[in-house]
Amino acid sequence: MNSLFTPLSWSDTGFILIGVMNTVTISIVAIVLGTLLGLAVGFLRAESSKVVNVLLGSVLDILRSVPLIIQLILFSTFVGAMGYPLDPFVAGSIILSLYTMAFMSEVFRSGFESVHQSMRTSARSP
Amino acid sequence: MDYEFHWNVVFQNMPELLNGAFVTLHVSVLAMLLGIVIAILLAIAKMNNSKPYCYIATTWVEIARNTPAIFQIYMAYFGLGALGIHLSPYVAVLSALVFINAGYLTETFRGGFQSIPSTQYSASKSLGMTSIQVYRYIILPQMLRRIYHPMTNQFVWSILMSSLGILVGMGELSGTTQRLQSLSFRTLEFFMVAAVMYFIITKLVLISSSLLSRKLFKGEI
Repeated sequence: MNSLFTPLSWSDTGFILIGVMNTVTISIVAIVLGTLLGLAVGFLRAESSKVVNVLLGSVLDILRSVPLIIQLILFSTFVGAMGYPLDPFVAGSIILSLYTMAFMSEVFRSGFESVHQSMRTSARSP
Repeated sequence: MDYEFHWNVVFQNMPELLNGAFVTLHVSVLAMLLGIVIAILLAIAKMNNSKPYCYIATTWVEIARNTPAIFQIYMAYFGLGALGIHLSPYVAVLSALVFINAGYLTETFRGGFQSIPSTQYSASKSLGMTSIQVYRYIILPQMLRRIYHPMTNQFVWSILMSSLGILVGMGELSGTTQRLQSLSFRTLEFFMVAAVMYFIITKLVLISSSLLSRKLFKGEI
């Protein structure tokens, strides 16, 4: 073995634990924000007209069919180029939340649409 | 906003980007085909009653589904490299994608197969069909109908996951983009073009898949 290749030692555990904490934090942020945003967007998509649906749908389509790594690089360079450089953690949280939103909104939309219209009518009838 | 866009360098390098897009498509098609073959074997092994086969298949599926794709690509490239097995970036990404695809598709195939009630097998047998006929005319057509869209989904995922080849210096779309942007420092322009190209590739795959499904299933789905 050459000297560049040092084995993993116990003193490295601290760094790995920091990484674990970051993973957990960013996941919680993304899941909570993404679910809340997804609920709102899913509700909008289930309730609104066709035009709004197509517009929202195409934005969600872009979020879902561009690889996450490209979105992360693009967003973080974009805000940097616009003159507001963000902390990588914040930029990552924003993109991950939006990505989760794109998936959750479909779940919520189909959930809203699976409840039949007659339920609403009968609930409103006195 | 004081950022000036320079699109010229992007258009000059368009042939290289298109070549990268071709490699992306190439590696994901290959990963999908190999993944399907392995997934069929694993699904058979998983539904088998003999313990060791079932155990191997379950371990494969659990590891493939519960670790990130980036970890598997790292393991295939740097992990095996540390053990003295030096794969080219293309082979490393391909093998990682095959590993993941096989893991996910195993569950798809198993679910599709088990969704056909076994009474259909008995009923066809009682009508005098041979085993091969039962699978050819009764079980496989229904199964294909149910697993077709999950398989399309997995294909799109493998296109998106192949973008992680950027980390091991593979020459696919994102890797080419990364190399070109580090030569020209037009990060934003290059990655915007790459995003558009990924979007177009995904849309083309989805459209052709839905055309094929219309042809295959004659509007029954």
